Parts: sequence; structure tokens; C-alpha cells
Amino acid sequence: MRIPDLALHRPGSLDEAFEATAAHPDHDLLGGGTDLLCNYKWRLNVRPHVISLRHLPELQGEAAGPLAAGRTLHELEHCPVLAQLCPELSRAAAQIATPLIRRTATLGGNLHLDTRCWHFNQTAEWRLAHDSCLKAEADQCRVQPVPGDVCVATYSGDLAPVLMAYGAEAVLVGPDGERRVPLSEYYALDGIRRFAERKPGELMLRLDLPQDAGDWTVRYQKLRLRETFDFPEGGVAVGVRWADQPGGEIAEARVASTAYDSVPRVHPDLAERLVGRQIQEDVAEELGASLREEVRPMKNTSMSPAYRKKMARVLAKRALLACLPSS
Amino acid sequence: MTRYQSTVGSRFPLIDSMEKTSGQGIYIEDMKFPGMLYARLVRSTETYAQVEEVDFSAAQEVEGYVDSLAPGEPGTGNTFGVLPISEDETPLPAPNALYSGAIVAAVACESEVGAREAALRVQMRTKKLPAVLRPKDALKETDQPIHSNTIGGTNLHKAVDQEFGDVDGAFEQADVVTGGEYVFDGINHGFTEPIGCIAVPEPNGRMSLYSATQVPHYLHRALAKVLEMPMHRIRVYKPLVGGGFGGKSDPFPHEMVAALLARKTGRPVKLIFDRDEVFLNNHGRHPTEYKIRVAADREGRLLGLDAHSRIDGGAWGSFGVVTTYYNGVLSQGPYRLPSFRYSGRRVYTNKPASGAMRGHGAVNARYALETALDEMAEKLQVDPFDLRAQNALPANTTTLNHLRITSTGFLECLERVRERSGWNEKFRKMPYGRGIGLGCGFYISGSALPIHRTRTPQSTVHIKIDVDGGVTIHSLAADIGQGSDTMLAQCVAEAMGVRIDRCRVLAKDTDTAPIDLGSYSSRVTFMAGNAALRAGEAIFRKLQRACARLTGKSAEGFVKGADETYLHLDDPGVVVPYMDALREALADNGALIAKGAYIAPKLGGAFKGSGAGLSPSYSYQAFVAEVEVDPETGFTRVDKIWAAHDCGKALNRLAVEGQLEGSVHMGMGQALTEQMVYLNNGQLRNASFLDYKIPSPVDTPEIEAIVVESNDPEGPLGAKECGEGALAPIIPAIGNAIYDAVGVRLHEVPMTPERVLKALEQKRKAEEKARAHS
Repeated sequence: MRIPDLALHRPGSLDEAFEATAAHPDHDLLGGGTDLLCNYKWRLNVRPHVISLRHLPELQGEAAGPLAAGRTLHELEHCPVLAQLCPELSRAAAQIATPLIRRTATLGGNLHLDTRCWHFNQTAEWRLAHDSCLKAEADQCRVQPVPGDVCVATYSGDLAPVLMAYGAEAVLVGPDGERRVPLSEYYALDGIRRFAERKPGELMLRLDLPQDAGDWTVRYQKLRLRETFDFPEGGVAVGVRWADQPGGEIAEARVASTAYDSVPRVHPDLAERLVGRQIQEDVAEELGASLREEVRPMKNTSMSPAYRKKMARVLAKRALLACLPSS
Repeated sequence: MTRYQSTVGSRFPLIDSMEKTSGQGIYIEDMKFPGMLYARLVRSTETYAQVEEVDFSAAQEVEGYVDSLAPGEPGTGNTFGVLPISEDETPLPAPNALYSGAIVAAVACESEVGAREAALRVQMRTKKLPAVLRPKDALKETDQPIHSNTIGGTNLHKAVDQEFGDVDGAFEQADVVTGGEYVFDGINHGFTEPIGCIAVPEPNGRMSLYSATQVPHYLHRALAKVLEMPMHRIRVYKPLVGGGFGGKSDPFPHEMVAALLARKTGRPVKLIFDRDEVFLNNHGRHPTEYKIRVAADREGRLLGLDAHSRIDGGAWGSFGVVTTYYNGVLSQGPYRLPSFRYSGRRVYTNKPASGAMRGHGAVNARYALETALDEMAEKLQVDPFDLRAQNALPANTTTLNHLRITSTGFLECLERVRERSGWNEKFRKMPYGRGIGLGCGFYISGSALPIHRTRTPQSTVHIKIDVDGGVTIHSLAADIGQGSDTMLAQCVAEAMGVRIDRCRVLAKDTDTAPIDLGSYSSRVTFMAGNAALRAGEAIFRKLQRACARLTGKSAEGFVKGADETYLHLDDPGVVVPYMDALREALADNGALIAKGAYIAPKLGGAFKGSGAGLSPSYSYQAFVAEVEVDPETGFTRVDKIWAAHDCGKALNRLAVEGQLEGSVHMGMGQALTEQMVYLNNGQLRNASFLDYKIPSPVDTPEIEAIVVESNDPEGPLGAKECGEGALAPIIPAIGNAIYDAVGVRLHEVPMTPERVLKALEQKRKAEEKARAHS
């Protein structure tokens, strides 16, 4: 496996980064490279210019803040500030890929993880034999071949649903300055386009949590065959803010899922139904059953859609029950 | 006087472990030659097609493009194969490309990057042929069988039918019959180092092939056939090999292609696979459908076994004829069977070839048999341990199909694993969701029959010792990480009474090494080990005579002493250091040389197929797995495994435990997570280590390796195999533990969470239906 020839740009400041992105419109941004460069080795949508974000002080280091986009997953896993502020994020980070990959992979990279699909994540030779797919060289989706089709490749990041459950906002920076977008509105339901809210040249600087994040209990459940290495085949994060006592009435809730669609997404209706209730087995079952109805997994990951759908119920139920202080 | 302190049974690292762990070891990828080209293979994009034309014109535009190899060129249609009875492989299509991903052509460039680019630009014109993907379809008549040697106008490659004793009578008089039908997905070896080779055309007209192979000798023969060169004009060299497990035990098309390209260009050609190409080359465990029935009387005596297998061979023959036999004959132990019937069918399909993989042929059949026995014990209301112990094959006996049984530690395996696992306190006594299960096994310690009809010994070892005192051991037994070099050094050191680090093993080069058939069928310790011992003993006799000349004492009175000395039994004061004895032996004589060889004893009956399964000895296993099953998700978590294995004698306890742990880990992968998955067009869907799910260290439980020693009378220093037999039992042990935990039997392997959950749902529905009717 070899990475094809490309030009690597290493801007040392945001201005240099904006210059590079403007000068080379056909580029990819490089965080840790643990996703992008694997795809490049398989000649998946290789671009001639790669702009590294590793040398931008705004994205890494102490000053950039605990949720700077350039922080490695290893740093998220072991950060004492995050352990206080949003402990479930550290636990979710610790479940991603392998210890070696977590030393390199970044928060920003995980949130921008490319979508995945059987028909896409294959070698160039394999795709030749397969007439490729919509997301690579062909004009038709192999999962759901319908006219004017949209890519249904699966988003498999673990951090996005957890951050959504904490109510995180993405802080973006471009030549025109900074702006904020709720992470739950950042993505677009299309496995190729993927982002609703990113303008050309914009970079993700960091994530910000709301003032009350510390009042929230968030729990994440992940489905995968092996306890390391594997991407989620389904993932559900549930967040609750207690009205009064932990374990008592729920004042506010958030439910988010990953690996069930081409984007991570929130389920506001399901969350709404939890408000005013106490977490009990039947409430958890109800949440699980509702989520199971809402998810539409595609036949493009290693486990079958039917099984992943069934497991949405179990994941949601267990995530909610795990919010109880006793668990 | 202090006698020699034997190293047998001690724990010490393999002799090549430092070069490997320090990164200094030389693997094929590390090697370079002046003027070397890089080759890249062009692979078929069709499931089954006749290759009409290959067009390299776009590839030729790539900078550094040098040459190509296409079907129809000299040598590319010459057949070869590991078994002389089914030599059906060709370097390139002749003229049919047999599966999606099959090698069609090759390009050679000045750089690896260039070769990759050039290969992607190669165009081919093909005529599609009707592909056969399912084994049951392969049994239908066809105008275009995948190979010309098939049976009855179908794609049937090999049929085996064997019957011993009165099988029908046994089932008629049986009080209890159990069994069922099982389906096993194909699996791949998953070795660490991808396959690769370098072909070097020598200035004197010879051809050298450096290859990561388990079988230098068979590769040597195949190259001679394909290149149409005499064997002495060819040299095969095996560098360090990063794992094989049977996946490097055939001569392969890419090795032929590299050699043909080297000959064509006159330059060295390097060809290293990517991981997906390793999967496409496969030669892994056959996808298998297995039917089994076992009969017993009400006292628990086994009366008969009736088994049928249908195995999917994929595109080539490989070891498949042997696999077809092994799926039956290796079920003849470790139990005494008064009657036995087996039919096996191996078919060709348009998929990557199946072949030999660790536990060759015995693994899937073992799951079926051990599951049936677990059901039998339940029906008879006896403990599964007791049922097996009651039916154990005794030592020094012969099975119905003429397997000669000598040493056996099976009963001790059962006893020790039962005690260590706390079986009596746990079996059928743990809460719902927790379970414990037993699986046993039996495996050859080297195939007694060589693949080629020959009177040449199966293993020969040479020793050379000169004035430096170092002991050079020449062999062609292939160390593929299992530690055979260390074993050879230990056997020679034991025979001579010297330290192991005085020995250096050169087991890599057909120019210098005497023939050894290679690393397959768990044969190396037994066969090459015996040869090494004999060579070492021959050297020892020379040294005894030298001691006699130096001291005037009788030669045969000298024995091995401590610290590399020789002592005389009659006179404890007489001590001759090894170096003194050696110098005397070298005087007027020159370097000491000696040879040892091993040929398996003549074994077996006179019936067709009687050679299959014959071995000079057999290993035995009894394994227990304790699991936790999540009834809501179907996930099985293995908490602990106790693995008792009779290896005859542990020469190096550390190495034996390593082999047992490795086998258990690999078997656990087949049991729970590993499967080769194909799309409907025959494309392999999961040809990467992300998508092909080998259990990670996190998923692997504590494994307690229990070494049982039956001291085999013919094994080197009492040893038998320990590298393969220990894979099979873990799969039924886990399956039987799942049954103990949640009450379902899995008929599909791997026992993935989806399959366990499906079985639980079916059980629940059946129970509801039964309740509704009552």
C-alpha cells in the first residue's frame, strides 16, 4: 500500500491556512490522517493537495482549550478537565479504534470522519470489478440504486453523538471570522456532501459545551463485534438533566445516535418524551422501542441492518438505564 | 562427576527471537538486489471469464514501465500444484480466469509506485463464462467445468466414500442417536507477514527465488516444472517468515509469475502482496457443510459414526484431496468406534481457493462430533467428561481405518482440565447466561505418507563442525515462527551434550540444505527433530572416539557431562572438554560432518485412501471454555479457557505454551468472529483486517495451557506435535458452553451475536408454540 503522489501543505497560522485552502480548492484537510490516508491508499477520492492542520496553534495545545479540534483522542481520553466537564466523552474516546490510532487521530478528524460503506471502502482493483459506487467513481449507489439517488454510506464516529448529548456547539473559523453552529445541525443527510454548515475554507476550531454541561449525565452505548479496533455498528448517547435529585425526575433530555445513517443525528421527539419522567425499566424499554422504529440502517456495514435495528432498542435502553446514579 | 543437564522441559526463548523483536531480522520485504524491478499483478474483474486479450498500452505510458507478462507467454500455462494428483494451477489464466481477483497478468516497473499505477491501467478483453459459486450448484452437470479433471461432468473435484464395520446395524440397535447439520464459513490464516517473493536470474543462468514459504522443497519442484528447468539450476531461499498456518504451504502462481518475469527481463523482480491480495490468494479453511450422526447404547458405549461433508474448494485443488479425507478419517479419534461411515465431496467453485489451514481438515468435523457427543451426554444423563473417558481410544491399538495408536495422554488431559476448570461445581449449575463446555481433539503428528512417491527420507539434517567449535545445522524444515530452528538446535545440543547457543541453524536454502518436506501436517518436530537427533548422535559418536584416542579409555564409556565436557563412566577422574574432543576429532580429518534422517514407519491398510490420516503418532486434547452470553444481544464473551494438550514431551515448555495459546486464540476467532464473506457476484467483501474480524487482545481471555506428557516412544526425546491439534477443540468447547449458558445449539460457525440471537429467538418461539399447544 502506498499513498499516491500529492502536495502536502503545512500552514503555521490560520491566515496561511486560509491562503492554502483558497489557492488549492481541490484539497483535503488533514488532522491525524488515520482515516483520510487509509482512504488515499485505496485511491478513494484522492485530491492533489492536502493541507495539514497539525501546525495551527489555535487547534492544539493548552491554550486552545480542552475541546480544540486538533486534540488527539488519547488526550481526550486522559484529560482531567474533560473528566470533570464531560466524562462520557473521555470514555467514548477510549473506545475508538486502538491505542496506537488514538495517539494520532484527532477530535476534529473524528467529527469529520468520512462515511463508510462496503461498496466504497475497498481497493481500487475491487471497485473496478464492482463498477464502483456513487461515492467513488460511478454514478449509481450500489446499496439503494434509485434514480437521483443520495449516498447512504454510514457515518461511524463515536464522539459526535456524545457531544450532541452534551449540547455541544461547533466553533468554525473562516476568512470572515468565527461563528457557532450547534453540532446537531452541522451535518447533512448525504454520505457524500456530509456537512450542511461548512463553508468553503472554513475550519473547525473547537467544540464549546453549554454553561450547564456539568449538570448533565450522559451515557453512550456502542455496538461492535470486537471490543477494540472496530467502528460502531450502532451507537446511542442519552443525556439527562435532573429536575431535582440525580435519579429522580428528568427535567431535560437529549438522545443522539451514530452509525445508523450517513450522519450522526439527534432524536428530539424521543428526548421530549422523557421529560418529567423517572428512569425505570419500562421507560427505558419505551425509549428503545421508539428509537428502533426511527433508525433505518443500510446494508453496508458488517452486521445486518435487521440486527443493528434490533440493537438500537438495546443500546438506547441501556444508555438511559446507565444514567441512573446507582448504575 | 556432574552429568549433562538436559534442557528438555525447561523454558527458554526461541533462538531467533532477538533478531525479530529488535527489528534486525530479514524478511522478504527487507531484501533488495541490484537492478531490482517491482512487479504488480493485474487481477480479474470478472467472476469467471475467458481472457481473450490483455492490453498494456496505457500501462506502458507510466514512467519506469519495463515489461509485462500475459497469458499465452511461455511458461504461463504450465500446470503445477502442491499435490501431484491435482496439479491444476497455472501461473496465468490458460485461458480462463477462475474468480474475481484471480491473477490475469503482471507488469514490472522500476518503482513500486509505478508498478501500481501501471497495473491499474491494464485493460483486458474477456468473455464471461457462467460462474458457479454455491457448492450445491457445483454438483450439477455443466458444459464448462472449472477444471478438466472433474468427476461426472460436474465441478466435483474429489469424492471419498469409506465404510468400516456394520454402520446400519449400529444405528438400528442404538439406544440413542444424536447429530445434526452444520455450516462453516471459510476462514483465512491471517498471518502477519503478507506473502511475497523476489526472483533473481543469476549471471550463470540459474534462477533463485527468495520467498516467504513453508515448503521450499515443493516450491523448488514446482518451479522446475513451470520454468522447465532442471532442479539443480534453481535455488529456493526462505528468509524469516512472519507466520504461515498453512497459508504459505503451497507453491503459488505469483512465485511462478515473478520467476517468469525475471527470466523475461533478465532482472530481479520483487512481488509483495497487499493484505487484500493475501485474502484473494487464500488457500484457507474450506467453507464446509457437515452432517453427522452418532449412535450409542444406553450404557454410553459409542456404536457408530456416520458423517458426510461437502467442502467448497474454490478455484484450485491445493491440498483439497487430503482435506476431503481428513474431514472424515480424523474423526476416528480420540474415541473407540466399532463402526464408521464417511462420505466427502469437494467441489470447485469460482472463488479464491481453499486449502490447508492449521488443524487441516479436522476442525469443522470436530465441531460436529463434539457437539453431537455433548447432546449424547445430555440424553444419556451422564457427564460429558465421563462419556468421553468411557469411550477413549486406549494406547497401543489400531482404529478401524488402520490408524496406529501408540502413546496417548487423552485420559490425563480429561482429568487435569476437569479439575483445573472446576467443572464439577459449574456444569449445568451456573445462572442463566453463564456456561461451561468441553471439547476434545485428536491430530496427526506428521503425515506418514510423503506427497510424492519416493524412497527419499522425509527429513534429513546435516551437521558441520569446524575449528571454531560452532555447530552448523543444515535443514530445509521451514521455521515460520513456530520455532522449528530452535527445536533443531535443541535436539542437536541434547544429542551432543553442548549448549544450545553453540548451535546455528541454516534452514533456508535448497543449495545447502538436505531435503525436508517442509512445515505442514504438524510434522517438523517429530520428523526433522528425529533426524536432528540422529545427526547429533552421529557427531557424538565421533567425539566419543576422539575422547578415547585422547585418554586411552573405551569410546562407548564416554557420556555427556556438565559444562560441555565428556566423562568416562569407569573413571570419574577422566573429563574431556568438548573443544579438546573436537580438536582431536578434526585432526588429520577436517570438519566434522554427520547426517541424520527420518522415514516414517510403514503404516496403514490396503484399501483406497488408506494413506490419509496415517501418522507415526497422534496428539490429544481436552479443552474447557467458560463463557458469558448476553441473551439480549447474542454476544458471547469468553471468560477463561483451560487447554490440556498431550504433546508427548514438552521440549521447550515456553514454546509449547505459546503454540497452545496461539491455537486457542485462532480457534476462538473461527468460533466467534472470523468469516470470509462474499457478495452475490463472488467478490470477497471483507479482504482487510478491519473487516475480517480476528479477535483482538482485548477479546482474548486468560488461557491456561496444561501440558500433558505421554512420552511418545518414537518421538524425538518423547515429543509429538503441539502446533495444530490444539485449534479444533476450542470451537465445540465454546459452542457447548453457549448451550450450557442459554440452551441453544449453534448450527452455523462462526457463532456471531446475530446467529446466537437468532437461535435464542427461534427457541423462544418454539417454546411459545409448545405452550400454546399444551
